[in-house]
Amino acid sequence: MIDFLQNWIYLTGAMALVGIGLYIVLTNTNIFRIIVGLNIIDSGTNLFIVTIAWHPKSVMPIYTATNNLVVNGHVISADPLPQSLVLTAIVIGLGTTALALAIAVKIYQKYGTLDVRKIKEEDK
Amino acid sequence: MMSDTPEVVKKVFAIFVVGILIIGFFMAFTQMPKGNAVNVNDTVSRFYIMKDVDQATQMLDKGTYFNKDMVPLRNDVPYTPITFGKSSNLEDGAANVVTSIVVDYRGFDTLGEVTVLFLAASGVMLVLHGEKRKVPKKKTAPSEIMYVGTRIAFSVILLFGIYVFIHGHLTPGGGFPGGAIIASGILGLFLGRQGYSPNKAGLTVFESLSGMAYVIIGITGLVAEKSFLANFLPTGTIGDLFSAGFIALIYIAIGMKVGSELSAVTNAMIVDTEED
Amino acid sequence: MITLFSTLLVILIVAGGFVAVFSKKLLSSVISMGLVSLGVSGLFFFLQAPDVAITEAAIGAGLSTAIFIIAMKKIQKGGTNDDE
Repeated sequence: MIDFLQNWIYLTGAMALVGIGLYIVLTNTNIFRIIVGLNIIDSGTNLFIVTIAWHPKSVMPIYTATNNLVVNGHVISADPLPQSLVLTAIVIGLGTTALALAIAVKIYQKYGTLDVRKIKEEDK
Repeated sequence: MMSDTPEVVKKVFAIFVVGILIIGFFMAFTQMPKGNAVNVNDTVSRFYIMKDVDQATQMLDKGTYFNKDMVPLRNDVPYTPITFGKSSNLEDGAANVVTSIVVDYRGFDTLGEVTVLFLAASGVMLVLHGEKRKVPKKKTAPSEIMYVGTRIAFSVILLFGIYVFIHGHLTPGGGFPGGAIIASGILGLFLGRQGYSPNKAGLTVFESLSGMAYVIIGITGLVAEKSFLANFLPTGTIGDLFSAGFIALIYIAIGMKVGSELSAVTNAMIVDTEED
Repeated sequence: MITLFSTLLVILIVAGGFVAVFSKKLLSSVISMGLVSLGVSGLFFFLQAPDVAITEAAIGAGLSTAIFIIAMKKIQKGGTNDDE
């Protein structure tokens, strides 16, 4: 049981987050709730990418006085390359959310409602 | 058509789509041995950790990179392990390997990311453009504790944010969380007093100068070593404050730019409400 | 030991996600989105990635939730100062 948990728990969490976020986007009509769903999908994807860069006997990829990254000719640290990609992705997720919220506020000021179906009917 | 289907059909369809996604994912992942067990010795990342990317480039040119029996370490010189406080004049002398990838080896991608963040902030301030309301609505004012407490806390938060982005090459952190911490401090100042507005001209000048500083450092590398964003400062001993070339300078520019940008975005979203 | 902590954090994250799906008020969904970000930041620490953990904690659980609530306040007050 411990063996199964240690190998699969992080991937299960990441996929559950992506599934929950997708369900929120597909079955809501309020614009603000759709943006909450998009943000949860962002978090799930970042967790998935950092999980790929990990193996069960790894250490942090930082050189300190007590941390050895290369032992007996083998590299035992976690993979640093996907972690740098996720660092970029988190900040860009914030920028996208801020822009989407500004546009949602302007849509409310023009149409007077936040329901996606009513906005689509009024726009015809 | 889609607005006439009843609610239950929509929910069942959504559960069906999510179920297919999760089942397909797990079926693809049973091919990997033991869930997630990456072997860093087989990937290109070990050249970033051992700080000899030049050898990886030579192996790619000669064609010996994709052999099945790749030797774990270089065997033409005896391998001296990298130790904290003793190794000097490496290819890139930062103690934090993730930082050296983000700024030194892949610095051009970070320039693209700073551009995307600038576009998003300009978009927000363009959409929410407007004039201040002349007659403010009556609201309850925050108490004295909030007013004094946020101002005391702001000085400590500002100092901590500056510490985080100056020591980006030695400890975890860097420019992006440092800027976000400073923006959180300014958000606290907004909550402490009604009608607070920061100096907009100062924020604009800070942001523009920091963005230009990044490109000017890159052009200096072009003039000095014939390659845009090349590391032209000497890399000292690993673990010192004055090591790792220009990583500290670029992180100072990025930290100030992100901090002032996020403060301006927060200002644009708060001030147009009737809280002034 | 570490596996036990990670399992508890993953259960917390999934519970927060379910609160975001099945709640009636909009404010509950936004607060549980902040809880999911905080749990993911703690999980990044157990995955040996301290840089990513600091960035996600400062941005996801701090600024993103705050900008959401500021935008929600603009909706309830009923418009701003353009008089369109």
